Amino acid sequence: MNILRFLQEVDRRVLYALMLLVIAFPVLVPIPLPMKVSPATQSLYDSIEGLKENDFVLFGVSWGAGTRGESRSQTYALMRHLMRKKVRFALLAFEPQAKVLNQKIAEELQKEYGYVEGVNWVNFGYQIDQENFLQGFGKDIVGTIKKDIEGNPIGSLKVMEGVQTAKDIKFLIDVTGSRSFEVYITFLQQPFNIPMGGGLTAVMAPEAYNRLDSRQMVGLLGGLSGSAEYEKLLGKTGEATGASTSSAFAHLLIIAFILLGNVAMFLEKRQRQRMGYGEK
Amino acid sequence: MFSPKTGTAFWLYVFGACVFTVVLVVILQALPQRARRPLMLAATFIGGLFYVLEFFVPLRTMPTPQDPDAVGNFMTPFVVPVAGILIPIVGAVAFGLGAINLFQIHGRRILKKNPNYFFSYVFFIGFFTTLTIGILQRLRPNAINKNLYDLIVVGGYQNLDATMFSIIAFYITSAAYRAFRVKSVEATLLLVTALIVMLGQISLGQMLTNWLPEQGVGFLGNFRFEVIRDWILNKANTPAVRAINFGLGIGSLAVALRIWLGLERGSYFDSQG
Amino acid sequence: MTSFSPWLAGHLEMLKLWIGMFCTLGLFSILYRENKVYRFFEHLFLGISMGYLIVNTFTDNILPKFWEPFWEKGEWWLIFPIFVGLFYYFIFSQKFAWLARLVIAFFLGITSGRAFKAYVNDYWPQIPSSFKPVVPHDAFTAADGTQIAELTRGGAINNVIFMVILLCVMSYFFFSFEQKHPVLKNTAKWGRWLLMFAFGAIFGSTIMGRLALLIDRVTFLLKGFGGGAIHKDYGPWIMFAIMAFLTGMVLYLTRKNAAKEEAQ
Repeated sequence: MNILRFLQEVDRRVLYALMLLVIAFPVLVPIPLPMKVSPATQSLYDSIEGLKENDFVLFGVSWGAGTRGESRSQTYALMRHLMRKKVRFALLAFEPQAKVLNQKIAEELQKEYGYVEGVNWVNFGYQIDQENFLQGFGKDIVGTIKKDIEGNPIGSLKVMEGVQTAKDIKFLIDVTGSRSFEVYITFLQQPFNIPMGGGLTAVMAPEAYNRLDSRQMVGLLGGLSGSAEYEKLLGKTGEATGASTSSAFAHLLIIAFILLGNVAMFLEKRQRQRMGYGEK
Repeated sequence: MFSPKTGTAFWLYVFGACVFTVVLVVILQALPQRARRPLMLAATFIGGLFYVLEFFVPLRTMPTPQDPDAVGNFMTPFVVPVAGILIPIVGAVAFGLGAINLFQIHGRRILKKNPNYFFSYVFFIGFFTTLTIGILQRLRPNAINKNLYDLIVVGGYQNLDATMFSIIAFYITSAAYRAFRVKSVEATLLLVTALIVMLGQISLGQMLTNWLPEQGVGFLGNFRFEVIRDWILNKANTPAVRAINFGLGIGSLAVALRIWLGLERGSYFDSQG
Repeated sequence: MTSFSPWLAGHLEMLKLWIGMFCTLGLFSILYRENKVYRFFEHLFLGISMGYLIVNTFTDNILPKFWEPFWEKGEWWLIFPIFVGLFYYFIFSQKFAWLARLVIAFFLGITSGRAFKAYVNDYWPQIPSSFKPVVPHDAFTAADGTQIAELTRGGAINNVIFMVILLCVMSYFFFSFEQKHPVLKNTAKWGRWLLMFAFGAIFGSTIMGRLALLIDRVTFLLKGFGGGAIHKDYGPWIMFAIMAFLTGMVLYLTRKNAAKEEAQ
């Protein structure tokens, strides 16, 4: 086979093998690389820094194991920051797996910051039908949620003192792998004018920049690089910082193969034109 | 009437609700065929009226125990019970439809002994095991139920879910390599933008233009990959996405209006059952 | 049975790792080609996810919103939404199917009615923010006390570019009448090209998104399973060697099959 044709048609399994190799190597041999912080991440960090002690934050967590690679490190970073600022927060999930995944993260971090469930934070559990639910939630949080994930009536919890409606929410965060952030904007952020930040997967992030421009969101973390940048701002290396090196090598591999395929295509086209075969 | 009941009164009211529902079904079923479509249109209109009235009717001060400064109209007191509680209950009950649909597909495969029908057994075993242990760990939360549920969910489900989505990374690599060929102006623009965004979002890409001055220090600082990436996302991507959103927004509003007013045509809306 | 519970509690973490490893490699087997191992784990995933969804819907929605208030507080009227939900199941009966469609029509109406609020809250704030200043100015305080930031020449040029792209892309999606006028036609043509910025950005970001998921899985296999189930220090390398061997086998089999096909 012509070498130029071969370079355009490398077997996909060879690509898969190379992809596994470039991702696995930095996992085994950590290579710290410097990272620049993007304005969107910095803006979210600054907004949370501006919160006062004991402010109440609604922490939407609508992600499952399918987007764990990005969402977990975002949740870790943001939750750590909230605990550092000593603000109260409530986890709210519109994805069934999220309540358990995030409960574990909160239970792990609470030991580090002296947080207590029910006193400093609460898990509202999994709810369905986000659009309808948030309408009732905005007007009466206790009446809509009723009980937390442990079965405690939330009205009796210390963390909910002075929190009755969405007007009492000082900041809204949504870490999600879906479009739940748009529903939050429509039914909670806009009607009650709550500043909102997001931790979105890289797939959703470009569409969310539109919300940054219209000030419907004040900042966002875009995918793995967003979490790594946030970890840098917190001064606490986490899984995103390590994973971003693997991500960098994998990106370069993909770019190399895209360029290789295109260069080979151009060279073959020129070769064919020189030999008088015309376009393929 | 709509206050909590106990004892015999409770059972009488529940029985009355059941009788009411049965009578309603009988009456509805007894209606002539030609009355069904107008009834469906009326149901659509009444359903839509709830949020339309709640949104458009002028607001006045309406203090509540939760919020002394609250504003609302005559529909506002119904939002919490209807939208926050009753509608999610209906949705939760309807979730079983998805399960029944899967039962039908896989049940048919087993009964007809289609090729590879063994895997349908795997589906049923997975479903009923998870369902049983899941309900048990909630109603009888002892150690063994909780641990078994943890094993299935954390050991099995979460790993399966994460892996299923991670396979896409391989496919996207292969697709990008094979399909991303510069054969037109649009493809070139797309490729160049994608390459800059990719290089700008990784540390190795940012290092390639580290030798340029910092952004804001000199004009050349604007040509760093991460700076160009931010510019693309904020100044080039945002207006394009917003334009798409405007089109989507107007379109969805128009469709919603047509559905609410019963103007929508099509096999579902025209069918009289 | 009495000895199973302590055994399970003692070995739970190890069992989770081993099951996770088999599930991960089982699904990854599709990368070689379609096979029965993949089909097994795919169907298992389908069954478990459906069961999990039903369980959580029951425990997190039906129990607190219906079951407990109904039985413990005597809120008898909660039986009505249960009946309404059960109406959906009439879809399986040919005679009563229209009752299911009646309920679907009602909820379609609710969703449609909500669209007005959604449109106003979602899209209206984006309209004023699309009108951007194009004349450079220093920072100043507006009449109502708002602080207006400085707009540099670069910022003004960026704002012009923003609005040009917005208008061009909007004109590309304008289908209400035929675009015969050269101005409209050309702006639509430019709009199509400028859309490529958005698509390129989305593609570039999507690559990172998908890679992050794969990195999570590889990290689990090497550090999670290798470090947790095989050996704390050397486990990741042993796991890497196993994966390298499996990958090598796949490449060898691929080459062998390709050579066989060429010979045929």
